[in-house]
Amino acid sequence: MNIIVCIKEIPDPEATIDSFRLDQENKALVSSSKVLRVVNPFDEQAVEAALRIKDKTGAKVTVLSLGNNLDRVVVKKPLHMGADELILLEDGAFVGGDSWSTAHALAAAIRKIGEYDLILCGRQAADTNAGQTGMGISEFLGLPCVTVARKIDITGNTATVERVINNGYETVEVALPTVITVSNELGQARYPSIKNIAKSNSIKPVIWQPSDIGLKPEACGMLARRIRTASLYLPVFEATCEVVVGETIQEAAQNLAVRLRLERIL
Amino acid sequence: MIDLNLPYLTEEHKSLAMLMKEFCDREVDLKKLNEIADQTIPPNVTSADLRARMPWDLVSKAHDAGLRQIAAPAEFGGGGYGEDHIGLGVMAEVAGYCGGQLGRLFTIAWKQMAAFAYTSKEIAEEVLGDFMNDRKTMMGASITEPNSGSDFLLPYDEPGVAGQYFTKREGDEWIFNGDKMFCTGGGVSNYLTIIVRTEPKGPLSKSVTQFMIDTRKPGWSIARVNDMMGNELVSNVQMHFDNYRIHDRYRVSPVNGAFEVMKSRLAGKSLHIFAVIGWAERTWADMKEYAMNRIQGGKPIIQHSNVGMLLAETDCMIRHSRLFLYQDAWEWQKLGQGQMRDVLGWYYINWYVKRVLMRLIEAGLEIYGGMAPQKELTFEHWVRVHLSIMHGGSTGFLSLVKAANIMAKGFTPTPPATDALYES
Repeated sequence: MNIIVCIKEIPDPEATIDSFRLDQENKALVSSSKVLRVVNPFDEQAVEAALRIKDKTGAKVTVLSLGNNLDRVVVKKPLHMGADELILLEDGAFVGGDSWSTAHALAAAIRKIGEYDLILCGRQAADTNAGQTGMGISEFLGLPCVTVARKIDITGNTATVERVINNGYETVEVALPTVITVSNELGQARYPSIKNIAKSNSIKPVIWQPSDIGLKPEACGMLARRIRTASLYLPVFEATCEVVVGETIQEAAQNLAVRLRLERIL
Repeated sequence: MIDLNLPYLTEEHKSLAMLMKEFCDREVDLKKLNEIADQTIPPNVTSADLRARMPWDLVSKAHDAGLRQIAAPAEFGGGGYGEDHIGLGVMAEVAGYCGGQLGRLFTIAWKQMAAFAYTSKEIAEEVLGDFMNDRKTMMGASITEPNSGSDFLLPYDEPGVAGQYFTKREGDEWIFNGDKMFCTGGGVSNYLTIIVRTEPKGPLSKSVTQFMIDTRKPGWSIARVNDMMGNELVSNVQMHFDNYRIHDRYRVSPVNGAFEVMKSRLAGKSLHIFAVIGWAERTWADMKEYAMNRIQGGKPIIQHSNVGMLLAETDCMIRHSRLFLYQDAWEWQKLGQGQMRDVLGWYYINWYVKRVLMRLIEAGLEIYGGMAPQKELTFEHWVRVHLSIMHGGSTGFLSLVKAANIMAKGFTPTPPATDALYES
């Protein structure tokens, strides 16, 4: 069985707010060079889901990531956890994309990999929180997609997925190949193993550029965005206090109720 | 988090550092560890009492993550990183930063692993077998004596002056009688490396031998617990030996040759300093965050020049310490076990880190003001612990005395310094 897991390198979600600066002119959030880069935590859960299947079935797990100047300490972490292969779409052309252009490039890479039974992604990236890439990949590849999985079991050519819903979970079955996005309810990902860390020194990831996956640079990254950021700003929180009065307490209360209704709070 | 963008660190080192960070983030409750260390030690405490205080669940999880045994030789199931001084150093630093008290809990065990380069395979199998199979197996160390502290460490080498006549040989056994004062891990450790005088009249540097003793054998007792203003998780006790017998096969140095062995293993001792610096970096980061949020005179106090300058000064000192430590570790690693390019650097770092910690304490008192001694801040716990472990014997001015002694006598490094260092 062949599993592909898509991971994203992001700034540490636990970094303090003073580690970031808002570039309003370019509509970008700039992080300090001292901010740690990490694997998107939901993608780590996707890796864990893949490895649990590997533990049971001996599946091969290939990890796929996209960006430029990717931190090898970050993107190799799935190998340290037990994944088998790492493929990087690494080129300046891939930078600055949105969910569409990212999913488009990842799908092209998956087509080039060729053999796959299961594609796993985190439910969303913890920096942008768009949650679209996994579904976009399934659309490009013409595959079904099951989202926010908390448990995945494979029997033959069928995946049985428990997916999170508002008041619990539901169980769905889907034929392979399929795309599944994984949620944090899966549970904690395993630690990287020290043996794998020592081994990974000698592992060189496969690196592809746009031409390797049949794409022109203008079909990737920022040049292929379909979402335009209109503005990016920090919300301003102001506190003002208006006292609602009345001749009596009852009248004041009535006036307050009307006011709250007019403000669409009630 | 500490800055991992140092030229000394490989990708592998950084990955190990991130593993340590992840472990600490998931498993360590800093406040709880501090509370455990601060528990009152009752009079007449026993070894069983001291062991009962240890956070064994955390130690066990560290074993599951491969961290507890990372310095043990690979052929015994360990991580095999015993000679990777930079790798262990950065992990110790992160453990100190992210895990506080946990840092030294790791480094006390890691440091002892170097002893197995000098033991027989049989002893390594016995001790490391215990260590790997029983997660409550601890290892510690002991050097000083009640009447021989700094003169044991200098060493004060007048013949027969320093160190009690402590150990004599009968056939294949050595018999210990006397007291060892500050036994790190004493009371909780199953095995201790211990240095004892074996030649009664000679200069100390040529009269001591190192052993690995098994505390489960009879013939020793806790004379007193060194109950300090800031205790660590691992206890420190005075051990009294009364006809304690140990077979010669547990000797880990040539007879009367312990000082030469100690010199070759100084790198291990620097692991403690890495952990200390990591914790200091965390303390500094907390101070900075406080200064950025505390408003006085209409602005954050970090914008008041006295506070800003204190933070800048202590940040500079911490950064220097780090570079000093990594450079030392790199030299050890480059030149191989037992080689030392410049032993003066090792003594300087011991002295300098003490200065850094004292200055950081001063800075904290200024920055936190009336809050400094409040128990709700972790600063006061950190101060108490570090005033307790920055003792003069192995740090501080005694290190400068040692450096001065070496300068006075002259020092020829082995191999020749420059060639070995810059060979690619």
